[in-house]
Formats: sequence, structure tokens, C-alpha cells
Amino acid sequence: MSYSLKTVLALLLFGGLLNSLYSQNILTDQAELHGNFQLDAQYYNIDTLIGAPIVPEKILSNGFMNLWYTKGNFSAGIRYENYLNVMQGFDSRFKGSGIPFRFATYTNDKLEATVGNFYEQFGGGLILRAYEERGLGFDNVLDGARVKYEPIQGLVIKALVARQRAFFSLSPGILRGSDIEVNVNDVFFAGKQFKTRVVIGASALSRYQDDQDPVYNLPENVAAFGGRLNVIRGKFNVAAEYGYKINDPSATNKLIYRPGQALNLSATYSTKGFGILVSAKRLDNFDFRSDRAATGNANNINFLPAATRQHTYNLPATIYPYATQPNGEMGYQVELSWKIKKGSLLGGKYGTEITINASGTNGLDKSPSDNDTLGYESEFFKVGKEVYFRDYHIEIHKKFNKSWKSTLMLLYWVYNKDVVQGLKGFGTIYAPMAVLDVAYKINDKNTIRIEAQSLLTKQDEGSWAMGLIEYTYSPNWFVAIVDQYNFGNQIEDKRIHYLTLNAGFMRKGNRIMVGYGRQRAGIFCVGGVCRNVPASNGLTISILSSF
Amino acid sequence: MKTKAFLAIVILISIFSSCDKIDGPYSNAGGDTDTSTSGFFRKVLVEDFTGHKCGNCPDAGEALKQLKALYGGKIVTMAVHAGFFAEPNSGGLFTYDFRTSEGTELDQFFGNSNAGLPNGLINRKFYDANPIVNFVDWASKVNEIINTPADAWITMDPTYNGDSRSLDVTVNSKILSSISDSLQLAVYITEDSIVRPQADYSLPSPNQYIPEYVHRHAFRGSMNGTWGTPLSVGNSFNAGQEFNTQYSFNLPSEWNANKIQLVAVLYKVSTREVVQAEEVHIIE
Repeated sequence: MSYSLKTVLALLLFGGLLNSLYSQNILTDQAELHGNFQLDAQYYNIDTLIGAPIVPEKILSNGFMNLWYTKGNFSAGIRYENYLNVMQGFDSRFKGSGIPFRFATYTNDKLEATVGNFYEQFGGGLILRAYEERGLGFDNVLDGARVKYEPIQGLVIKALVARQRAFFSLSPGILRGSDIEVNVNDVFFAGKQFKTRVVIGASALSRYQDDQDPVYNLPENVAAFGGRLNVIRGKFNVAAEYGYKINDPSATNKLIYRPGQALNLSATYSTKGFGILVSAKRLDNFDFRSDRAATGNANNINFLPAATRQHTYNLPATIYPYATQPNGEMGYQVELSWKIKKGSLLGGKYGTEITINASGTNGLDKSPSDNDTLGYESEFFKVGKEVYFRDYHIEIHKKFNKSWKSTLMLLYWVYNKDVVQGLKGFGTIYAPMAVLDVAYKINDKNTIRIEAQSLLTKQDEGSWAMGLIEYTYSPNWFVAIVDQYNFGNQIEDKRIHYLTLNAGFMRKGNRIMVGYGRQRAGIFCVGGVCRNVPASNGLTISILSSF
Repeated sequence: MKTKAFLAIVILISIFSSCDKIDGPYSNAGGDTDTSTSGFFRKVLVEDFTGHKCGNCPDAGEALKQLKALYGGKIVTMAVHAGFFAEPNSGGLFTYDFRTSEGTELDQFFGNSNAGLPNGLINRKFYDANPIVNFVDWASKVNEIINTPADAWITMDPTYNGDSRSLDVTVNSKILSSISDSLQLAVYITEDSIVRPQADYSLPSPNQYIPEYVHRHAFRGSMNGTWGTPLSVGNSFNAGQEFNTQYSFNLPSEWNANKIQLVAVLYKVSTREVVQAEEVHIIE
């Protein structure tokens, strides 16, 4: 599906019409137009050593522009996207250009109505989360109608009917959903003061997709239900969310009729200078999509974040990042963080921040079901034996004086590459890692930052080292040189330097970045959702502008 | 007010949460499929994009077998080995190279391996803008179109010389109902029952492969290029028109002539959608 220029004009005219209709109420409101624009392009060199695929077009680019119009209670917007052709590492089904996003919203007192495209999330997203993540090439925006209603303060009801974006068309399933969130204090004890605040929520979502299968008797309406509870008392915050999905035979669960379940629990305690986080999760057959035949990073209805810390330093973030296994996993995370006081022996003049984090994920304990079509049986609280992922790390951040500050991070990981990346024959990787980040502020305008990182392993591609030197000339310029070096590769020819040079210029709402060098093949993840990135060598340009 | 609000919620949730719980039977084996093959009828091309290192691909092979069992001669199949999972290793089990330049070109055009294997194409039809069909959906997509009347009919008459290994074929394409588009005819070659290793994740760890897997309908190449050649000049065809075209090819010595099949694919140039397909063994 694509929208012609006429459609866009009609939409904008419609916006203008609504404006004049309601102008008596909103005469005082100023109309505003905002937007942003981004263009990423890469020129691809041929590089057989790193196994970069040959790109016949030589140059590939992804781009988009958002336009947002608001006036008073009315808002509307569109987004144009182009992929000419799709850059390496993004789904090639994006090929082409069009307007996959346009909407109009009117808000009136307690009611908000939206038609067209919208993003939405029920609770933590266990049964529904429509979101966009550009870096992943992921956008499951909904297209339909949504109503939000807040009859009394603290009570929000949402209802929607929509189909989901699938590249430049729509996914076949029709989604019908509703969500209610009750702030118990506001609704039942308005005006009273309690130390404890309680928020509860419930949601339901049903997908309709017709059954044309000549063999299987597939459910045409598949519903999922979610419930959540959040209790906040002083420094404590406890949250629980549970999801249940009825039989949903699909491509990702190999057409089994077993119902799905998901549970996320978390508790935090935080005071000034000290914090603790404990979380646990269990996922069982909880991949939920708007097309039962979909696989890969597409048509997802729900969002299942990984119960591990999201790393930003290069080697931990890019070599072996964990991806959530929606078909079944059990995991936990514990994090302690505190700040050693200024003036103490360890704290020094500026204090020292320390974070200790441990997380682990295993498979489910599964046994074959008597009925093959139901897949398997699994005890809810029994942890499976197969290790998927472990991350134990400590991070120490210290500022020494006005010029020097540094971060030291030591990690130990266990990564089941076969399970996480859906491959076989790579086995499990055991990898201690270290990161040292030192920044030196020469004066108000000039800063130099150096990173040194290492990952030591005998498995897979062997050990890696990474180095970075970054020079920033505030506030507009930066230049950085990054090298990833696979020095431990068993194959001598593959002990490759992945060297890149990056430079950027920022001013007001504009940012231009240029990079040149090699990019290793790997997976890139955001929030436990990952995409494969093939190796490449070439020049990248990224232009971003917002207004 | 509160009562009203909660009543509204109850109504909303019940409206928006329809669900069909299936308590069995889960399948209607045998089904209501029409497999009659008298007169002219539509044959549906199912292309299975696969790779010997793809451990989930044997499931798609099973799906194809099931389709064949359901629809018999109404299904024409090719297994195109392409992409990462089809790459040969330098040592070990998976050293054989099933890939072909034509198969790779098809894969790059339709984007199959990029979307994650196994998957396939059904008559190369685009559903909205997406031609890629997961194997669990093959039967449904085939079922939607298989009983629609055929727009063309293809017959092939191959002659094979076992000494010189030269292969000649005359393809007769008969238009059954008018088509206003340019038509292109591609004559592909497949080899059945190649015995080579195949990864299979349904097997218990650590030996998740079948050393002597029978690779069905492996795409071997084309007699007239990846996209074939024009059936005739022009972009309008009328019922009753007939075209005879000839093609020649020399079989590489490695290929087993007894297992070689020709697959003729007639398609519309503007949409790439297959109008009609046919397959035939070169040795009866």
C-alpha cells in the first residue's frame, strides 16, 4: 500500500478544514509545524577478506522525513520513507519508498481519538507494543483507529482496531484490543493520603486472520490477555506483569497449539547513593505476531525485553549481545549500585560510583507432550538445564579532578551462540572482558577520550581487542578513530583490523556524520531485539536535521 | 460514575477479545481438496528457498511433500539453494555447493534468504508488496489459487541424447484466456534426489544433521537465463494463440540424467506472477 501525493494533500486539507471548524475554540492556540529528516547512505567497497556481500548498486541509502502539525486540540502528521535500495543489514522488503505513516488526532477534554497510524503500548508491552526502532529497521506501527478515554482521574481506558505495518504494506491480521489502567489511590481513595500507591492494569488483544489451510484447523481469532500490578511505597517499587495467549500455531512455534504464558517480576529500592534492582522473568511460547506465517524481525505484536543490562561499550554491545528467546526462557537480573561519599578514602574529591550486576537466562524445562500437536509440557517454576546467557560485571566510575575522569568495567560472559543466533555448531562461548574509558578535558572546548577494551575467548572467532580515540571540539565537532582487532582468530588470515574513522559536525538541529572503514559481520541489538548486519567496507554518511 | 465506567470496561474487553480455542481435531487430513487433473487446469509453482546448513529447512521440505500429497500433479516444485545457509564450508560435512548463479539472482530479486530461510514463493505472487511466504503458509496460499481456471497450458517434449548428454526441448504454450501483458517463458532444470548432508535442528544435539539426506527438486539452472525469454513480441495475448519454442542445453557429467526434470514457467513481465507452470522428466 502506498499513498499518493493526492492523499497527502487531502489529509493536510482535511486538517486545515478541521482547524477552521474548531477555530472558535482554539483561536488563541498557535499552529505549529515540526519535523525531522534523516538520510543515511553508504558506498560499499568490495572486500572479500571480511566476506562483505557485493552490492551491485554500490551506493545504498535509507531516508525519512517526519512532519508534525499541531493546532490546539488537533494534530496530524505524516512520514515519508525511502530505501533506494535498502542498506545492508536491513530487511530487503523495505525496498522502495512511500508514506507508511499518517495520522490525525483530536483531543477533547477526557477523550482522545486517533485515526490512521499510531504507536501504542499496553502496560509493559507484554501483549501489545507498537514502536519504531530506526537502528533495527523495525517499525510495527498500527493503522486503524484508537480511542483513549479518561472518565475520572486515574482511570484510563483505551480501545483500538488496527492492522499493523509490514514494510510498505499491512500485515494480514486485524487486531482488536482494549486496555484499562486504574490508579487505585486516585480512583478509590481520592483526596486521601497513603504512603503506598497502587496501579493495576488489564488488557486484552485479539488477532483475526483467516484460515485457508487445507490441512490444519487453525484458530482464526487468537486472543492474549495481560494483567499488571505496580506497588510503590517510599523507596520501594514492585512491579509484576503476566500474559496469557491461547492456542496460536505459527511459523515461529512450528505450528504447536500449546497456549503461551509470560511473567515479568521486578523490585527496586533506591535511595540517594544506593540502589538495588531484582528481576525475574519466564517466557513460554509467547511469540505473538499479526501474521501467523511471519518470522524474523517483522509483524511482532508484543515486546519482550531481555532481562539483562543493555551495554553501550563496543565489545560487550556488539560481539555477543543477547536476544530474547520468545519461544521459551527463564531469567533473572540483580543489580547493586552505590556511590562512595566524597571526601572518603575511596571516594576522593568527587566520589566514586560502583555498579555490580549479575544476570542469567536458561531455557525451559521441557518434556514431550502426549499430543504432538500441543508441542511440549513444561513445569512453570522449573528452570531448564540449558544455559543461554550469563553476564556478571562490575563497573567503577570515578572523577579524579576537573580534567580527568574514567570508567573501568570488568565482565564475564557465557553466551550460547547456537540458541541466541539460531545457528548450530558454534556452541557456547566463555568470554571475560575488560573496558577502560578515560576522558581528559584539556580546556572548556577540547576533550580527548580514549577507550581500550578486550574480550578473551578460545571459542568461535577467538579474542578481540578494541581501541578508540575521540577528540571533541565543543560544541560542534568530533572526530574518532575506532579499531576492532580480531587478534585471537585461529585462522591467521582472519586476524583482521576493523578500522573506522568517524567525524561529525553538529549545529542547532543539524548533525552530519561521515565514516570510513570496515564493519564486521555480527548482530546489532536494541532491547533484546536484534538484526543481522553483514560485513561491509566503505564510506557512510548520515545527515540528520530537526526543526 | 464508577459503575458506568466499569460496565464500559467489561463490555469493551468482551467485544475486543474474541478467541477461538481449538480442542481438536487439529487437522482435517484428506481435506476437501480437488485433485482432479482432467482437461486444462492451473498448476501452481512452489519455490522452496533453502540451504544445506539451514536446520529448519527440512520442515519446509516436509511441507512441500505434504502439498504434493494433497494436490499431486497440480503442484510444480523447485528447491532453490541460496544465501548464507547454502554456502559450502571448506571442510567437514557441508562442502557441496548447491548454489547456482540463476538461483542467487532469483534470491536477490525476491529477497528470500535475506528474510530468513526457509521460505518460498507461490507462483511468484506478491501479497501486497511481499512475495515471501513462510512454509507454514504455503498450503493456505496454494489453496487460495489452485482451483481458479488456468489462463494458459504448457506441454514440453524433451529429447535427451545420453552419449553426448545434449538436451533439446520444444515447449508448447497455449493461451486459454486473453492476457494483456508481456509474457516471458523460463525453462529451468531441476535434479531430484541428490544425496548430500543436511542440517536438521529437530534432531537431538549435538549431531543435528542427516548425513545422507535426499535433496528433492534441487534447482540446477536455466536453459534460457534467470528470467527466461519473451514468449513472443507484444503485450497482448488472445485465447487460442499457441507458441512453440525450442531450447538446448548440455548436461554436466555430474548430473544424474534419470533424475533431471525441466520446469517451464510462463509469467507476466509487469508483475512477475506466474501464469502457468509445467514439469517433465527428460527421461521417461
